Formats: sequence, C-alpha cells, structure tokens
Amino acid sequence: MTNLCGFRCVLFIALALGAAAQAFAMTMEEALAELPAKDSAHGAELFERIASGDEALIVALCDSVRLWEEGANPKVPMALHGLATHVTHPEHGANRAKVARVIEGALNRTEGPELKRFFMNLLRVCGDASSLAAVAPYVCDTTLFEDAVYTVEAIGGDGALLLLENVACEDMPAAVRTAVDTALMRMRDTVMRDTDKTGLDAMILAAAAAPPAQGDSVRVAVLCREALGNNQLSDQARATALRALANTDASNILPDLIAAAGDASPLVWGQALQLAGTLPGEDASRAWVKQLPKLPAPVRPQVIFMLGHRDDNTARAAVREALAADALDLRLAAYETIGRHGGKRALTALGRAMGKAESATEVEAIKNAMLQFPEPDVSRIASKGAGRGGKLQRIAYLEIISGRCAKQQLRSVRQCLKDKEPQVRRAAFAALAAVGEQKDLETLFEHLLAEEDNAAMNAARGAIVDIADRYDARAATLKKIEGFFGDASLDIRTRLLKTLDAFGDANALDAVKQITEDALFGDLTDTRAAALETLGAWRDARACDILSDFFERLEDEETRMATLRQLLIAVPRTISDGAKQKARWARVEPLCRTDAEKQAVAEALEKIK
Amino acid sequence: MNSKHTPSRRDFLKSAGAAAAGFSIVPRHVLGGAMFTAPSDEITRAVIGVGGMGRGHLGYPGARTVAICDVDRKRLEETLERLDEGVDGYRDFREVLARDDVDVVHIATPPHWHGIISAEAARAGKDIWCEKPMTRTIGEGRKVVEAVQQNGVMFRLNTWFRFRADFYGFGSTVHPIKKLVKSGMLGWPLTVTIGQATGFDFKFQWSGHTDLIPEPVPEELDYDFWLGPAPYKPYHPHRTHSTFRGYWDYDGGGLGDMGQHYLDPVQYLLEKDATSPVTVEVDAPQQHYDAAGEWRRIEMTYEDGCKIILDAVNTGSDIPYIEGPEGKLYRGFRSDIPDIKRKVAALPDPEPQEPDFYKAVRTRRKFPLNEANGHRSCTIVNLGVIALRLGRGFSYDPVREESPGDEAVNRLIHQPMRSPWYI
Repeated sequence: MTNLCGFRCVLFIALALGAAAQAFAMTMEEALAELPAKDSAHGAELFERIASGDEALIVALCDSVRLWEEGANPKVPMALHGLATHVTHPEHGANRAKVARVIEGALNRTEGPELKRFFMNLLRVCGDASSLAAVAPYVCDTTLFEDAVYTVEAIGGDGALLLLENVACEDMPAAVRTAVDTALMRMRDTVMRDTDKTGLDAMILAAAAAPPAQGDSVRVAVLCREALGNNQLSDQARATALRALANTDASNILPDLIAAAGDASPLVWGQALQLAGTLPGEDASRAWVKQLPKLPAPVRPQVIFMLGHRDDNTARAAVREALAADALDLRLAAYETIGRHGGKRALTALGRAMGKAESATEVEAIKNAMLQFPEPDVSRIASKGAGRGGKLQRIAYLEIISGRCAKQQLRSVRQCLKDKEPQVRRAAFAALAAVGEQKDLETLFEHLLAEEDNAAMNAARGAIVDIADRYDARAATLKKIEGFFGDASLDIRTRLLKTLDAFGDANALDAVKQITEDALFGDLTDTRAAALETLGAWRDARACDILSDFFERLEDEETRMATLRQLLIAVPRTISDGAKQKARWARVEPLCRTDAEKQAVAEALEKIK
Repeated sequence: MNSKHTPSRRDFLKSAGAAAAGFSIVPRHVLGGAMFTAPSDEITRAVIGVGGMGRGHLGYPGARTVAICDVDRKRLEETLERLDEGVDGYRDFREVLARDDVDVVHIATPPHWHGIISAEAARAGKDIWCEKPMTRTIGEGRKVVEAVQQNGVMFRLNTWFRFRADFYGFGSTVHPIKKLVKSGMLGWPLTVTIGQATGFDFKFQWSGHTDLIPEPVPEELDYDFWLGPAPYKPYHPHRTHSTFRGYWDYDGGGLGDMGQHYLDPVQYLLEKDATSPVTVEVDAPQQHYDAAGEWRRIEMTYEDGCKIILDAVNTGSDIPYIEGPEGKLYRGFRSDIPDIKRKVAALPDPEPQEPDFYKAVRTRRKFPLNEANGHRSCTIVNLGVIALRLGRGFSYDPVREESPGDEAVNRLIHQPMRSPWYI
C-alpha cells in the first residue's frame, strides 16, 4: 500500500513539474520580442526565465546568431549577452554553469572565426574554470589565438595560469608565444618589473610598487642608493629608485631626498620634492630650510612651494620669510602657498609685499593670495591701500573690494573715482558697480559725460546699469538719460546712446527709437549716424522693425542708404534662422527705390545659407 | 623617418647643472644673443593621434612640436603639410617615445589607447598630456597612476573646468560654486545632478550602430594598429575616427567621452579627489554588447552620503545642480538662499590652481588635474559605464578599487588586451 502510494506520489509530482515547466517555457520569438529589456528588473526577470528554462532555448539562440551580415537580427546576440551577464550576478548564479556549458558547446559547434570570437566573448563574461578546457584548443589556432588567450586571462584563476604556463603548440608561432607571454606578465603583475628595460634590480622595481618584506629592507635600501648614484641609468629609473627607497626606508630618506633635490634631472629633483612633502615632522622642514641656499636656483622656489604645504612652524616661517626674498621666483612661490596658513600675520606680510611689488605679475600674485583670506580683514587692507601706492597696487586693491562686494569700503572707492590714472578710475568704476549706492548714479553720470578714457567710460557706463538694476531704478535712470539729450553736444549724445545700448531692454530701445526719429526727421540731425549705429548693434529683432519703418519713410537717398546699411548688420545679428531672415528681406525689398538699394538687399539674400 | 637631434632641455640641464653649482639656466646673452631661445627655455612635444582632438593639441601655445603620429597615413600626411618644417611623422608611437628630444607627449588617440601610451610614455621618462577619458577601464587607470608616480613624470588630463572657463550651460565658472560648497551654506551631504536641466548634454547622437556590415579597410589605415588592445572586430568606418565613441571596445558613448568634463569638477567641488563612490545604481534599457546606447539615469553614492546623479531625461529648470539639507543651487547661480551672489563673493578663495601645464613641467609641481585625481574622476565615468553594460547596480570599494564579491564587475574593471599590447 505504501509502495503504491509512493509511486503515485512520485508520478503526480513528475507530472506537475512537467506541466509547470511547460507553462514556464519560452519560445525564441517570445524571448526576442522582449528585447531590449526595459530596465534592470525586466532584464532580471526575463533572463532568469531563460536561464532556468529549457536548455534547448539557449541552444537555439546560439545556433541563430548571425553577425556582421545583412539581415542579421541584433537581438539574438543581445539575448545571449544579456543572459551571460545575468548569470554572473552574485544573486543569480545558480544557472551559470549550465549557460557556460551551452556556450562552450556552441563555440565548438559553430563554424567561422567571427562566431567563435563572439562565443569566446560570452565566456569572457560568464565562463568559469571549466570553460578553460573549451577555450584551450584555440590557443594554438593561428586565427583565434588572440581571442583565446585573453579569454583564458579574463576567466583567470590558477587554472588559467597553469594552462598558459603549459601551452605547447606545434612549431610554436612567435605571435602565439608573445600573446601567451604578455598575458602571463599581466596575470603575474610583472609588467612593471622589466629589469632589462629599466636597468634596475627586480627588488627595486618591486619596492617601487609596495614596501618590501621586512627581511629585505636593508638590501633593497642599499640597492636603491646605489642606483641613485648610477648616472648610467636613465633619469626615470633613478626617480623610480628614489620612490622605492621612500617605500623601503622612509625614516632615513631625508638626506637622500635633499641630495636628490640637487640633481640636474628634473625627474629626479621633482620626485624628491614630491616625496619630501610626505615626510612628517618639523625636523624635516628644518633640514630643507637649512639646505635651501645651497640648492640650484630653479629648485629653490619649488622647495618653498613644498614647505608651503607643510603644517609646522618652521615651514610657515620659511614661507613668510620668502615673501621678502630678493629673488622674484621665491616670492611668487611664497604667494602661491601663504593662503594655506591663514592668519593676520601672513596677511599683513602680504600687504607689505604689495607695497614693494614692481611688476604686474607680482601684484596679481599677491592679490590672488590676499583673496584667500577672510573678510573683513582683506577688504580693510584693500581700502587703506586703494588710495596709496603705485598704480598697479591701487588697481589691485580696488579689484579686491569689487571681488568681495565689500560695501563697507565704499568710501575708499569713491575717493578713487578722480584718480589721475585712467586704469585706476576704470577699476574704481568697476568696484562702484559692485558696492555703489543709488545716490552714486549722479556721480557716475558726471564721470560718464566727462571721462576722456574709453575703457574708464565703459566701466562707468557698466556701473550705472548695475546700480540701476540693484536698486530697481532702471525706469528713472532711463528718464534721466532722455533728459540729458536736449542740450547735449554730439559727443555727449553718443555716450548716452551707448548707455542706452548697455541697458538693452525694451524701454531703452523705445528711447533709442525716439532719439533716432528726432535725428532722422527732427532737429537732432548730427546724431543720425550714432543713433542708426545704435539700432544696428541692438540685440533684439525689434530693432530691425524700427529700422525698416524708418527706411520706408525716409526720402533722402544718402540717409536711406545709411539706414539700410544698419539693417544689413542688424538682421543677421538678431535673426539666426535663414528662412526668417529671407522673410524679413522679402518685406524690405519692395521698399527699395534705387538700384544701389536693390543690389544691397540682393547681396544680403545671397549670403543666407 | 628623419629625426635630427637637437639638444633637449634635459641634456642641457644636466650639463649646466654639473658645470655651474649656482645656476641651471645660462642667460641667453651668453649663449647666442637676444633672439636665441635657450634649450632650457623651450619645451618640445609630440602629438600622438592627429584626428579632431589631436589637431587642437598642435595649436596649444608654449611648446614646439617636433613629431606627430597617426595610424592613418592620410591624416598624418595632411597634418604634416599644414605644419612648419622640422616636424617628423610616425605611424608607431613607440618610435616617438624613443626620441630623446621629446619632452612632453600629447595623447589624442581614441580612449582604448590612452592607458598603454600613457604608461609607456611614463616609462620612457616623458611628461604626459592626455585626452579624456583618462583610461577606458579602471584597471588601466591604476596602472597609469603607478607608472607616472614611479617614474617621476608629470601628467595632465585634458579637461579644465575645475580651474577655468565657463562651465558648459551652467552659466558660471566652477570657482564661486566651490566657494559656496566649501562654506557649508548648503549643508552636507550634497547631491549634484548633471543633465540637460543643469546645462549638460550626454550626446546620445554618439551611440553606436548595431547593424554594421563589414567593409574593406581603407588602404591608408593600419586597422590592426588602430584596434591595438581591443578585440578584433571586422572593419566598418563607424568604428573608427570620430564615431568610435559609440563602441564599448574603444570608449563609452557620450558618457565615456564627455563624462569626465562634467564629473571632474563635481569631484573637485565635493572634495572627493582621493576616493570614489561606494554604490552605483542605473536606470536604462538593456545595452547592446558592442554598441553604446541611450540610458535614463545613473546614480552614485559616496560613503558620506554625497550623491552624483546623471540624469538624461529631465529638462525642467526646477532641478537644482547642487542640493543640500540647508539650500539649493540652480543653473545660472540661482538659489533659494537669499542674496547668494554677494554672500559667496565675500568668502575666501579656495587654494589657487595653476592652469599652465608647461609651467608644471618646468617646476615639477603636480598639475591640479593629474594622474591621481584624474584617475578618480575617470573612475566615476567607468563605474557608470560598467553599470550600463551590466544593466544593474553594484557596490564598489574605493580603497581596493574593486567590487567586493562581484566577479562580473571586476572582469570589466580589469580587462585583458589583445596581443602584443599590455600595460
């Protein structure tokens, strides 16, 4: 009775599983229709179904792969690659062996190198130690050896090493030997250990990568020091020896580094200074400071730079001292690192250095150093200095106030507006743009209208715009500009038009339109050229409408041509689309009266791509 | 190839150093008059890869080009014709590295060559200016770091947003953003979102094609050399020159090619130059095994909770570039913190960064974007590429530079190379 029940139970379970498997099974068409998987979750579900389903599907996919030919379905290799990738997921590896075996079977079954390459590619993804046996025969294949060797390498492990170490092809082709040897080199991590190429002992090369075993340290240190003194070796080999020494004998390396800093080779002294930065302790800094005067001139500033990145008192003092060195390159190196140390003392020293600086390079370097210090100290020093010292210094201090938006230093900025040097005035206007108040607009207009230097004038103009924006005073400022126009000279009107251009908004354009109207049809005839140029340079296509309208209304041939010339500038500047440009000219063309006007429009149309 | 020997800077410095303890630089007037450029003043360079990016390198001021190299003979010849006399052309970069008179090697090949040429250049004692991405795999990046540091050479990566220039469509340089982050005004940890909303484009037009039909190799191209360490696949023009970007074997699509431009400044802002994210998540359709395609989102998280989100979908302007518990910063330097620009202006500047690589060559100071931090920002790119290729997330150990227990990830971190190439 029990036996009958047992048999029936087994039969029942087998039938149930069979039915379940059939319900779960996918056809190749169904699988390919799902590709590409929409996302990780979809991919995981799809490829798990395939991996855990009937092997026949995977075999069918393998047998259906076609590559690099017309009509080949890219989804088939994608399905197999997705499957191979899926079974190497740490949580989905249950079917990895099954998938790998099917792929190995396909590798052996398939004809043609391209397909074999493809299956080896899949084994590089999901192959395991057992796959090595399937790949091994191809190591000696003169067409496929490269793929085979690096598939073995990708699979890795002791089995792979053993396989490559024991490769024995008939009449071993040189190319196969090379492939095997380079793979072994990578697998044993000996690429960097070429003693022939470098001339260095293998122990030095090993120590350059990682500290040697304790028992070998003494020997390695000796070898490194010998190599450092061997001028038959290349510079990079000696640099390598120095690094190896740092890994081996760090506590005693300081004298070696100091000696190497005097080496003629930049690779060697550069390596020495890189390593010097990593040595802890104030004693190390003291040794470098003591040696500094004896080192070659190009190396000394680099030592200062290195000391600037150390955090002890000796190093900091050396950098501060270098701020006042006779040699410019030492001072520059100090400026580059003094900001790391911070502190009022350092900032005060920089202020003194700024007072003595003679070149633009040095002033700029000091300014950049100062900007690493916090407020309010920096802008306070800048404020004191803005009205004193040389031109370069005054400009630098104004740039500091501007850069820091230091409103509290506004008074100093105002005092510089009348400086005798135009570059200083320019810097003062730029600073006022950052820190000025609404009442400064009045002063700025005075300067704008009287300033002789172009660059300073432009800076004043920029400041007017920035302050008007900051205090929401655009409308009032535009009104002021319009108010200036009536009695102004041509020069003043030109400046004011440029100011309207700097504002650049719709209201400013309205103002320019009115001025141009007055210039073309009213009393401001001397302002015609300037007004038309302002419209020509405007950055909004509305200016083209305005110019077209004027062109239509004008009678005088010379003025019409002047207007048309500005339209020729404005259209491509403000309308990037070629079709829209053509539409614009289609409206202008019928307005042309003379041959010269028609010719100009025709040329403009021709230029449109 | 005709290679005339001009005394190199290094030759000169060696002999001058031995002769004159007080100077290494002999004044020009001693050597030959006002117009004479002393060897110690002049840096020489070779440019390897003279396609689109390489031709740009030829124009960088501050060094004299003495050699160029390309595996496309036509490109090589066309470029030589445009250059001054005295520049030699090569097909094989190893011949370039063997020249004593080359101080700096500019590497502007496709990314699958960057690691090998960088490491070999370091072993040849050359300073290196390498295009981004620094390396195609994380494993190669580690080898480059090792080679550069052991041999004492200088390395710079060819991206620059951490120290100059307007930051793509963001509307500001990185400088004030750095000040803001350092001040703590936004709080900590921070989330940085990189995408169209914040002014960056992942350039999906550079995706690869899945239906390539092989074509004959053009006579001027040494395709085998072009492939180099990459697995053999039959030639198609879309695999080479500027469209190689679309294939995993040579690059990583728009993310691989442009990612380091966008991500290196973020690494700098977050002060993560010495570490890497510890988890990576991805939202993307399954990628083709050969051709890089489009994706939606990649999210990487550091140990301290800082996050980088690569968002290829959202374009709304309400997505902050940086978000912290205390505040947000949007494109154009807008913020929910009132008067942010003035507040930031009043802050101290960060440590300066010297943007001139040839100055670094002369002073032997580490360039601000060097092999170590360049490898780290390239690692962020490569972690994203791995997540895309696997179609899933994973964890990462920034110290061991591996994924604990995840063989699939580690096989993409350390990829073998086609013979005879190695790194």
